Amino acid sequence: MEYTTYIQSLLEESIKIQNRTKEIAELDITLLKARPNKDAWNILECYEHLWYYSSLYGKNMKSAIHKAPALKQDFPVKHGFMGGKFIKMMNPDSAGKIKKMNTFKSKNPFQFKLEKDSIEKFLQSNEETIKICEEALTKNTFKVKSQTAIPMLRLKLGDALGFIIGHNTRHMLQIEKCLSNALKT
Amino acid sequence: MEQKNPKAFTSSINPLEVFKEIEWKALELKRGDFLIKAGQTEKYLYYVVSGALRAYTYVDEEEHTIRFGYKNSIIAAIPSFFNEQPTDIYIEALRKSTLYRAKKIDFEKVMQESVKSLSYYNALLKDLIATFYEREIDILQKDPAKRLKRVLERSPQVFQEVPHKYIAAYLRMSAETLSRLLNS
Repeated sequence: MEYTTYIQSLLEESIKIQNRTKEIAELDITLLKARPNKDAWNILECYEHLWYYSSLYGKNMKSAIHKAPALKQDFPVKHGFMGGKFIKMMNPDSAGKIKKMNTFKSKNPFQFKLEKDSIEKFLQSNEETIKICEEALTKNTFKVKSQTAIPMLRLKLGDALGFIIGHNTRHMLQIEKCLSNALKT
Repeated sequence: MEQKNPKAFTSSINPLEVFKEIEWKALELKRGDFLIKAGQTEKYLYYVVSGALRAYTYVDEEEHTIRFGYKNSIIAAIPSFFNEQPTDIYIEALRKSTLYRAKKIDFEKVMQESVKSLSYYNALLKDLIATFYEREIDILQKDPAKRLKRVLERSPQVFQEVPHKYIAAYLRMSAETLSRLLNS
């Protein structure tokens, strides 16, 4: 895939997520707090978790993109070794199923007393992600590295963008499942 | 009124023709576009002119394909259309599709104005109710081959219009089972 096609698709995905989230923010709070089962996150917890990561990555990516050189010409995207693995981990498998993962305890908002401001916080950090994507269209984000949530690990900025937006998409699907279920009860 | 196949999913009347007084708005969808998502309320009925769509919902963690829309069929988040409550259904275009949509309030208006329109609307509802009943019987069939046979007889068109992996999900069988049954 060409670089600009890759970034453009990430940008479009982030805008879709932003619009859908604004819609979801308008829904009744009981729907946002409903759990599909007693051990599963509700919608607010999903957004709190998304906010943790997207704000952390957003901060790191913002400082990385300042250092990125201008894009001279389009090129085929080649993911880094760890970057490729991280992105793949987020995507559904060939059958469209999402592999279950465990979250780090420090990033697990289960049973927090959350309100709609979790969604507001995510909307703000996702707005930052959108801005970074827009800027990335004119820069080569595979030439610089960005810090991640893991202290020893740095990813190419272009990979970090792919990872965090893949992470958003993954939990948006979880949010849709949660919502569809909540509307049945 | 011509009644082709009473069990068919496609409507026996063409709503674009019989509801001429209603303003039908054309709509183009790309693959992956949504007509409606959970939490929204259905205000329209859609008539599909070309393309393919599927309606699905989640029960617990599982996604379930519950209905298709394709040429000459009507699709909408029906319960929400009637009760005006937020829906739990998603309707997604499976490929490029052309639809016409009409507002619920426009239907109500023409029905009050003419008995003929009312009878057409009733015919349309009769078709819809029949499809819900057929679907209910489909699901009760334990034998996957029987479920397939019913849908093949009722709506052979589906197999031309809709990717088989979604038909398999609709029939509650794996894509491999569907392919094996179709080849035998």
